[in-house]
Amino acid sequence: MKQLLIVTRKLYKMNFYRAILSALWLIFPLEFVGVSFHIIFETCFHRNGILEVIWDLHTNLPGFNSISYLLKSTNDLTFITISLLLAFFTAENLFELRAKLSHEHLAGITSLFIYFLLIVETAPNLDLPQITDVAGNLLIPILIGLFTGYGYSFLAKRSSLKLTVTYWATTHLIVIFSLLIILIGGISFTVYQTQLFPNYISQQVQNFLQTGNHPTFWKITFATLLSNFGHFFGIINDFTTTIGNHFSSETANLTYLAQHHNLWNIPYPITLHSLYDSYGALGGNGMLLALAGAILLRVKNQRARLVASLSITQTVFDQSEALMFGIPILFNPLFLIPFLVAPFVSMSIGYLAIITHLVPAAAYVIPYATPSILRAFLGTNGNFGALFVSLIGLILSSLIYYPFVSLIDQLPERNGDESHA
Amino acid sequence: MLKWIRPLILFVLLGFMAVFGLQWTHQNMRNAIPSANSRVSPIILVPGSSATQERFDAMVNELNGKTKTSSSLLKVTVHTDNHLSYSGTFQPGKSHPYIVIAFQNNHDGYSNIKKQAKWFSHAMTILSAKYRFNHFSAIGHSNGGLVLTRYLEKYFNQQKMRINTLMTIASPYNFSETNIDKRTQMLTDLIKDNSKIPTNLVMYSVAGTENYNNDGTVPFASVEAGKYIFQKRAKNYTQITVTGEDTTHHDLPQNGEIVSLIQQYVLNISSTKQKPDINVQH
Repeated sequence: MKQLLIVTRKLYKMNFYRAILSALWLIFPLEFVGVSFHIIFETCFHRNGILEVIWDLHTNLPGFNSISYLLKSTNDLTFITISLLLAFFTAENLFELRAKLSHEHLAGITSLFIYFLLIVETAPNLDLPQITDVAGNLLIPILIGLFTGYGYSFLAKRSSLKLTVTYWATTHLIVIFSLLIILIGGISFTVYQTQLFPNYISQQVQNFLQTGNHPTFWKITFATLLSNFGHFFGIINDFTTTIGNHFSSETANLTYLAQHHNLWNIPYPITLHSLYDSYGALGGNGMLLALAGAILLRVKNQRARLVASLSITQTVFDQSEALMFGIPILFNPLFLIPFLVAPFVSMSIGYLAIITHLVPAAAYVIPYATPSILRAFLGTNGNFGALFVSLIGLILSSLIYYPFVSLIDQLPERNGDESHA
Repeated sequence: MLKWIRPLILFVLLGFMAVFGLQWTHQNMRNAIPSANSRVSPIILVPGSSATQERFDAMVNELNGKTKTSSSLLKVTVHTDNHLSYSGTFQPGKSHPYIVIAFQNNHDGYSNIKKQAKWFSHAMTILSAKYRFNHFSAIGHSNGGLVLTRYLEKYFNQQKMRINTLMTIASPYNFSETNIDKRTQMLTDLIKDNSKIPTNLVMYSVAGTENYNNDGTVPFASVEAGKYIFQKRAKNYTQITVTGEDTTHHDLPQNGEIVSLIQQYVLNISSTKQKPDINVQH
């Protein structure tokens, strides 16, 4: 614990980390709004979203499709904007911290430009959902921002020239941007030729995990661990869902259920749906609902409390991105351990409860965007034991987060303006 | 005060979602259609009024002779107290086992047809579970066709059961009424509820004519009234008129042409040799 705190404190003093933190904090409001609208879209305007099915909105609401389309594109654009801003602010902040210059946006603009070109050109297709998919990987804008920031501050120190929008900057910028366009064009060309799209690695891991016919507990655990690890570093993925869809066990379960309507004897009780979705992802990856609760109970830090109380409603609907930005949890060494351990513990409890036949496995089809705490309950066709097991998983996860959360108060107090000093 | 409003709203919303989401989940699963057809697909035969379970013996014999198979014939009578009595055999291995479902109370009349449809549904529930089938074809003679139609509209659960082909032979959809403009209560009811008829149903209505008006018992116009129930509702509705020898109402099931029609349209075994001389009206 002590070690962890020391490491985190050291990290908090480093320029690159401060640049990331203040970028995340600046973007938090936009992320919060984006996520709120995303929840409205998923619950009400996504086919089979939970409120959509309750009120049968697609037949009862005139203009359902148009609103749905509008919301979907707004959401996509918001999330693209967020990652663009992340690229901009990371570079800008780092440059300002290192070169002690402010109000010069060269680094930010260059980083934004590189990132935008890159995601659009390396998306498998030039359409909005595909680009959004690529933009979901938040590690890339941060890395690009950091590189650009370092590059410019290096230039600024070496050339002893004022990097301002002056004659120098104008002439050099023409060269820099031309070179960048060629460079990124080259990268994109290679990506297309080799088919090494940004999601290549995750696809390979998926293929590896998809061997065999039916997922085992350890395979699910491993997939969850990898997925959460990636999530922690900003690689927001739907990897576990994709893997889950691959296995035929869920289809086999549904076929059985359609005929017999008996949850206790389904052929494959252990699936990603019955373990991970029902017990391992309460509040999105890493059981963040537990974290939000723990913060509200324990932490005195005003900012953390504000963020947690704002985003706990979103976390109930599994949208924890605002929390990840605001606390932040992304790249925060304090939370890496519980972020990986809590889902594992909760899933193990679910696993034990299922194999000992205390609760049936959640195999029913549930509405889209069902709040996480209700997923096991609905998936078992209203088994209160399953609801109880999810609550136990949640409480245990809060206990796991608890000691780590209390360290927040011992971190140096900081605010958004600090980096501009 | 304000501090409590948000958690309260959240909990109410969660409770709301739990209750109604559960309802949807439940409904969704109940509507899930078993993806596989059972291997066994029997042909259900329903006799008309005053007829017993032996009604189709001659017809099945003739069909077995024509198709050179020996499909099994099970005869079931539903008694008024809902218990079933069996005779004959059911052999699932044979291509199309026949099941006759007859009624102890086999009187005519709309009120009795309603009762028979209910008995029929009861028998289907038991038989489908006992002999493990989830799809079937049906042939109804005379009032038997009315029972089947009412069963499809009132009791048939498309999620659990599928019907491939329905053939009614001389079924008086408008009873003995010869004027189509005078709809009996039964026809009105059947037309009113026709939205429940499966849209994938392939339907044949066969009429026999001894003279230009009827088959000696059932008016042609009454058989023709079936179009108001099935047309534009079922996937296919075909009306077929058979004339010539053995076309009196009671001979129709064993009429050679009708046996050929059953072979062709219900069993889907087309005979290459003998083509029936028929007049097909769409």
